[in-house]
Amino acid sequence: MSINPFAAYGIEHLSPSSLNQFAQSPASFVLTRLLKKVAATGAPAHRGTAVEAGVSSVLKGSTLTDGVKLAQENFKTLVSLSDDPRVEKEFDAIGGMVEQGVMALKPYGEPTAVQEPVKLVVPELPIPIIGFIDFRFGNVIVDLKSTHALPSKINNTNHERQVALYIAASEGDCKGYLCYVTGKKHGVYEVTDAEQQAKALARIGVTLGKFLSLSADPMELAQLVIPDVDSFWFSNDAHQRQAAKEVWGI
Amino acid sequence: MSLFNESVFAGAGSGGDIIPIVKYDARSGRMSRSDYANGERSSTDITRSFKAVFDFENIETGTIDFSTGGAPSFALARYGSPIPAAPSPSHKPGFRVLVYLSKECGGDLREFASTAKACLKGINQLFTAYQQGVKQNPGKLPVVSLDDTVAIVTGEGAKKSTAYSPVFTIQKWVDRPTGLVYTPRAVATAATSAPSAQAAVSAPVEASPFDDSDDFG
Repeated sequence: MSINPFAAYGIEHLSPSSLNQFAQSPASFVLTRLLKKVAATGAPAHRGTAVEAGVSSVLKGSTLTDGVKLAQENFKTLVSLSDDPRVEKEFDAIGGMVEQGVMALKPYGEPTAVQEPVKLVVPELPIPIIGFIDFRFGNVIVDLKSTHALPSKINNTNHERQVALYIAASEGDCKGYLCYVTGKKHGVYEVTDAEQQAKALARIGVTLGKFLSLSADPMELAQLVIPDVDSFWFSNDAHQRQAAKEVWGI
Repeated sequence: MSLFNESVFAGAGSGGDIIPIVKYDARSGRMSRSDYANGERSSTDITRSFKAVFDFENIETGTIDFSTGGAPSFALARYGSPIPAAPSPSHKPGFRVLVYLSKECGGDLREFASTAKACLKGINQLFTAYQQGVKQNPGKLPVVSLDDTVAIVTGEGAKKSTAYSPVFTIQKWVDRPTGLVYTPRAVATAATSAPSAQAAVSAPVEASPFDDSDDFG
């Protein structure tokens, strides 16, 4: 990529979430990141943030009771402007999820880093891919995912790519794991094809760069994609749905 | 309706400086400014021209009771501080934020508070945009316009109702206007208790001359 197609849109770095969004729904990427029609965060994502804060505080020495309280307070703040009907359900699940997260990660000891920033420079891309490692225990990297249904194995490529980035961007020989927690159970699974998944992220980045290089006008790019309005990206958010109508007329 | 419903007092029914309000009516999708002068209350529709600097650095969230018959009861905390428990079942989730109106809308400091779900939806979306944008604009506040509304239909049959969620857009980022100063208020507690001081107090950000080319004088 000889010139930087990302510069025209003020994009200074990529992330697993932005790349996965482009791969899943180019229309949503155009709408939110190029046309700046920002989507509000849903209650489940806020629950994830809160659970992570609670688990982190317990692993650093807080009691479980205090960790749960911290997570619940964090969640209340994060959703305090939300009208998401799932708020109550998510709040109720937090205590169990923090407890399961602690049970899963306690054996690794105290984390050497929490929310550690990492940056991967890919030769084919003019900007880096960045991320934040949830928990590092020496050369063991863990990304915590809270969910209401425990998978029996890693069944989400986006999650794998996330951990793959962390491994690729870390020095030395690291092992990466996905730790899934529900209110009652947990499962920790190793990401075994990190190299391939890191390459996939880079590939998506290159494709995104080529897409952006077609025009510096986001409305022109919008004409090259079309939203699936029944998808998660549009169906849960009246504002995104309306914005899609305005941009694409559907 | 009494003056108290149209004005917002410092604290929960306690005395203090009155800050006039702007109001978003989710049933009609209209924004208005409320004024009280010489014993007369007036409301001016500013939907089409609405533009204001939002003090999102100090937005307060929690619960509000607008149905007191007197001054609204606020149980709010600055975003990031622990949210106080709702003092009564009448307290509904809501927000309060100071805004500085553009000259076209009146050019003064106003308080904007609501518990309407449709309004919260719009503010939530706007606040998310603020949180993303402030990383590239540290220390600045957003100039916000009201561009549109989105119809939110709930219920079915006789219970079907439509509310209009505001679609706000951040037009640009500016330094804090001189007149936009946040002062923490008391927090309403259970009816039997006196209002308590808000736990987390943010130092008011030093006001800077508003030298932007826009009209927030």
